[in-house]
Amino acid sequence: MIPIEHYYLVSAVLFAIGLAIVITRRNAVLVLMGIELMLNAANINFIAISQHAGVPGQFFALFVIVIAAAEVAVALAIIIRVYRHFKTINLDEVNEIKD
Amino acid sequence: MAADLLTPLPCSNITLLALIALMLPLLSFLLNSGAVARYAWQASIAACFFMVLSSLISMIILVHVWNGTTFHTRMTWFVLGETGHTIGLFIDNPGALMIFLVTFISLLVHLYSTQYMKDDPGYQRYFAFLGLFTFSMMGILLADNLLVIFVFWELVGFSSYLLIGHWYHQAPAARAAKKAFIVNRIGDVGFILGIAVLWAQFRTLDLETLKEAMSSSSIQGESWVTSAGIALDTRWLTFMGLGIFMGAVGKSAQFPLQVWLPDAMEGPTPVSALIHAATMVAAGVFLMCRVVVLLDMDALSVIAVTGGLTAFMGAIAALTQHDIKKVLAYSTISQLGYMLMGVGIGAPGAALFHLFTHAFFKAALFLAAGSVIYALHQYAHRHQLAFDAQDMRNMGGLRAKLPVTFIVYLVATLALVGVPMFSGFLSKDALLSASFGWSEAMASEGHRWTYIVPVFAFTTVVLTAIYMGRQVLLVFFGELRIKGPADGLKESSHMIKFVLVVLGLFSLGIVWSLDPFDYHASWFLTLMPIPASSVPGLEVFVLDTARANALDSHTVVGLISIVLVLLGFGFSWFKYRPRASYALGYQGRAGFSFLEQLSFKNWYLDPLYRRLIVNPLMSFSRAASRTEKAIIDKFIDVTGVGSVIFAHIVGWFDRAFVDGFVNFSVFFAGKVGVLAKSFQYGKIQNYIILAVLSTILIILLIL
Amino acid sequence: MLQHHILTILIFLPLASALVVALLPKGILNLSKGIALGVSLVQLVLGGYMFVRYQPSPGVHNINGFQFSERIDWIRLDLQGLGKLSTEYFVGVDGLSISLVLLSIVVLLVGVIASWSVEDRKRGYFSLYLLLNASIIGCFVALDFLLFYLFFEFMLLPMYFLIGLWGGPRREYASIKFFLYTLLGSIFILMVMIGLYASVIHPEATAVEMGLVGAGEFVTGEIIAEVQRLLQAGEIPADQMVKTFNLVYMADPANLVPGSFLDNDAVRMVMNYPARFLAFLCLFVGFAIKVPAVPVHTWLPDAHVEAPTPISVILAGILLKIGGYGLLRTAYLIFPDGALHYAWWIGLVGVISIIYGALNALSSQDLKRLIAYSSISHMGFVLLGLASLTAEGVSGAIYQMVSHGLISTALFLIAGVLYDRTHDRMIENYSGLAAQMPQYTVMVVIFFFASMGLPGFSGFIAEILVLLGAFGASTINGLLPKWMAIIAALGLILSAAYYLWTIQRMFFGKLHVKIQHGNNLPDLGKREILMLIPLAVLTLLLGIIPSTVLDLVNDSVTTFVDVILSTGMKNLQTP
Repeated sequence: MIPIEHYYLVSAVLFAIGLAIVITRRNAVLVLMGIELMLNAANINFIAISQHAGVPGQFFALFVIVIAAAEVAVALAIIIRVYRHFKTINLDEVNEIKD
Repeated sequence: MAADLLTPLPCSNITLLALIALMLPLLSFLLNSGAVARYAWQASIAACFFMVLSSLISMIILVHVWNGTTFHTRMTWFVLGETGHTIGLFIDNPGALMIFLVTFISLLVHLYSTQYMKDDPGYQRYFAFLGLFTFSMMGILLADNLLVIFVFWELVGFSSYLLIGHWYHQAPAARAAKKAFIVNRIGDVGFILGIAVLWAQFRTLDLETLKEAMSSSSIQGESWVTSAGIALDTRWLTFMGLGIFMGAVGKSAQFPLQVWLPDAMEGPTPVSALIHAATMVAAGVFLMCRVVVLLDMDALSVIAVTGGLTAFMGAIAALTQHDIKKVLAYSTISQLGYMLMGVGIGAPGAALFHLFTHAFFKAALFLAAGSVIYALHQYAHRHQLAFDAQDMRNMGGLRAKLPVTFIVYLVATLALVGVPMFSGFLSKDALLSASFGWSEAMASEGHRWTYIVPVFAFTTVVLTAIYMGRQVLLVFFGELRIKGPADGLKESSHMIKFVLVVLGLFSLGIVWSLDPFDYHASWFLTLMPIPASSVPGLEVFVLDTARANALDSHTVVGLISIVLVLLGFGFSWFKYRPRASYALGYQGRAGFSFLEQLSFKNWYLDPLYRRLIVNPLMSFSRAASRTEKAIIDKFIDVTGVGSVIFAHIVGWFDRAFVDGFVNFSVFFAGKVGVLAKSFQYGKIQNYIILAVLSTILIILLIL
Repeated sequence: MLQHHILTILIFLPLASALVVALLPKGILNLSKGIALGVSLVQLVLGGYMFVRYQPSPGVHNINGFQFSERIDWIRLDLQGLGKLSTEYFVGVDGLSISLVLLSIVVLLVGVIASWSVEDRKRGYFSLYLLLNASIIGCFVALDFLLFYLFFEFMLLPMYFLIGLWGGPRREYASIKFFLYTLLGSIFILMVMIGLYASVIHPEATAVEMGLVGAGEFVTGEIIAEVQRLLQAGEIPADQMVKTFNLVYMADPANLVPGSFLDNDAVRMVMNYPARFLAFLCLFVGFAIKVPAVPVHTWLPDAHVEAPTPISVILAGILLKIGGYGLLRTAYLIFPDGALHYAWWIGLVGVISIIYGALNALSSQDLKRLIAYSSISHMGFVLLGLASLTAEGVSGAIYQMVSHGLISTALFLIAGVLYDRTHDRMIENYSGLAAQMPQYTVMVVIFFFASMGLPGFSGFIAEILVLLGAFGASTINGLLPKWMAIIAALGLILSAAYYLWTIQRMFFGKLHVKIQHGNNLPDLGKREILMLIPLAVLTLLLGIIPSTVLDLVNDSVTTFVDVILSTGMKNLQTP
């Protein structure tokens, strides 16, 4: 049986990678993918803990997946609108809130 | 107190007559001021007629009071609080004699003026004012109440103002009129204050009541207490006497207020005769005789000394005048001094006696002088000569040209100087003896300084003889000094001569006393009641001793005065006789020695007053107007301007601070907003970093 | 019927006419003069009626003692905790006011005649004039402080415009100065009025409020006495007190609410000073500005010099008297303790005014300014007489107001005569006018001598009474020292000096006029004679028969003096 720490480690690495993508990439689609990574890192944690401690975590994992799917649908739609409007999906250039 | 005495007293026939005699001159005033100019002559004749009536009535009144009865009518004039002010007529012997004197001389002056003033453009005005004057003068004599006396007193001053200023277009006349009134006013203020003391003390101004109230008051220690218990410091008793005396000082031209009378000679000569010699100026003497019973010893002594001093000063000033009327004016001052001295030394009867004799001979002198002036005027007019008809330097030798005038002038001069057989001798002798007797009595009480009064009085006798001798010699003797044709200088009309002769007759001693050497034989003095003085604290016995002394010494005094008169005449003959150097060089006389200047300028009183009173007063007045402009108004303006400036400051404060605060809050909120906004710069990833870091921070904190 | 509405007619007739004049159409503007004259003539007739029907009686402090009185409730307000407010339309005359009402009527009539030559904006002029007329009469007859104050303030408005629009070259300065000065005085009066309102109850209305009598029933003297007793015992709750502005109630110490601001039993201190004394001082200053007394007088010369002749006439003839009357009616009667306490100072202010005014007149170059300063000097006698609190002094003060009203009216007309002809008032520019204008000179001599107090004219009676009163005060009530009367008497010399000097300079001597076109100097016209002769006759009449006025005044003055002395002494003795 694989000790729980390993799951944690994978999950943390995955989360860190996702976070790094979200923070550093300029491309909105890549940022979206970073978020997916972070969500999945969370999913790993849910499933691992449910298996290990016997709490019903899969249910949350399924929930997250559904949400993520919906989120991607909405986010992509927004990105398309942003692209149509700004002719770019570079987040640094989409900063209308400033001036 | 004494309220029962203030009940109205019914009218008697005599007081009714007196009222008519009083009203006639007023009627004359109204008639003459209201008449159409065309009827001016008729109105003036009517005025003369009124005066005839008035003097006839006075004569009837005189007959009725001759035996010593008095008549008093009184009614309430107005009521104040619980006290009534009364107005009424009071007639006793002195009063009746005085109204006769005034109406009679006024009549003569009216008659004289119809000729003297006939070519004057102000003829009608002149007669109106004569009427007004006579009315006011009669009012003083008949009134029973000090307030009413004061009313007429001021009216007399007013009519005198109008008459002195008759030729108002001449600047000196205008100035003289103003001066006369103002100087009189100074005296009148004293009079008012005297009245005020009596009022404060007795609550009445009725003279008869005052006399009773005065005798029922007493001196208790330092205070003067009435029977009603009202107390004043005794100084106010003296103050009251001196106050009323000040009124007399003004009106009767006594030192120090005598300066107006010489200037008043700018008025027409008949006016000078009537007002400024015979009657008005004598009003002061009459008033003092009326109130003498209210005066205390200190006041009386001041009056005596003032009178003596004025007699002396006036006589000195008369010595060197060139104006024929000015000599007479100063002489009048001097003689009035005699009269007031008489009042002060407790011989009011003698004072009144002198007032009477003086009124006639001085009126004669003035009117004769007027006749001289008139004649010279006519002469100048006829020959187209230009010279001052009043200046004695232009006269001389008029004896032959104006015989009637000369004789009357001579008679009146002898009366004035006090030569036996003439009226002045009697009255002056009475005064001189009284002054001698008084100072003896006072000296026996330890007041040796009182000898100054007879010394003044006797010196004045010599001086009078000198200046009158000088005047007669310079005017009537020698040669006419003005160069001109010999013809055309002649006596004036019969009316003028008639008036002069009548007045001349009254200057003879025989009219006044059958024994021309003894004034005690005079009918006049027997009519004069000896005043029973009732002032508390007055040493009546001194005055009684004085009277007794006077009786004893009058023969000696008479002799001395005759010697003094001869001395004076001798001196003036020696100095001013026609061929003497003075008379020869008189026409072009210029240079004066200091003493002569002192006399000529009337002791330099005018410049003195100008420097001591008028100039300081004017600088006070200018200072007041500067205070007004520079301080009070400046303060107001500065306050006004200051408040505008303050308003600007407030406005600035409003903009800078109140508005500034509001603006600052807005500005601050804005800055805060900008600061807050600076976090929202649109880098979505930075937000995420912040969010993550914050989350980590929170987790760390929780853990 | 007329008996009780005559005063209302006197006030509202000019007020209504002012409205009519203001609305006159352009074509018939000449009618405005006629209306003003008509109003004044009607007032003259009514005044004559009053003069004949007036029964000498005290009045003063007796609410039923006023004649021709009319009394209507005006404003009633419930102020909850502050009690209830009551003001009345209460008018009436007594001996203190009747002579001044009559004087006002005469002077206002003369003013209309003097205004006859006004051609510039006459509609405005005459409607303001009528407004002024109404407020002057109102001021003299009002017996309610609020009403009095209303009329008092109302006078300012027409006066301000009449000086400011129809005046001389410096009219703006003069009118603003006048306005601000008087307004300052009004503020002092207003403060005291409010303080008084809070301290005085209306005994009749309070009785009704307490249910002692029914509304509309007659309130007897016993009930009033009972209310006053309860009040002093502190048994009336604050919400049942009806506060009043009634001047007669204010004068009765029994109506003072115990412990209130101006109560005389428990003396309130303001800045270590008894509140009642301060209140008296405030009223005194307020009215002294109007009198005017030195040193708050400087509005007067400017206002007079710049005002058109008829307005100068009204100003000197009547407005100054409102100051004196206000002192009598309010300050003295309501605060007798203050009157006694400050008698010395008031006398001093009077004496200073007399001398200072006279000195300034002596150095005046401008004829109108000279007369203005002589007014200050003469009004000083009013203060001195009042301060003496003797029958003579107070009667003299009232007499001086009447007499000065007539004489100063004439004097300003006289100054106006010359100004109309040459537009120059400088004394030094004229000399020897007597030759050119003999009738004018006669009038000048008459009125100058009347003003300097020559016997036979009214001024003499007034001044001698004041002097007797001021001097006698030392033995009667000891309020004034004797030297005050002595100094004041010196004012008589000064007045002779400045008037006679002026006569000598302007009228005597050689004819010489130093002004361009100065040769056109016609003598008095008919209209001018018509104004001056009646005034001369009146001054003479009052000078020879002083009982004409004194009989009207005497009872009230006697009561006035008694009341002030007794109440004042009592108030001063309470701690």
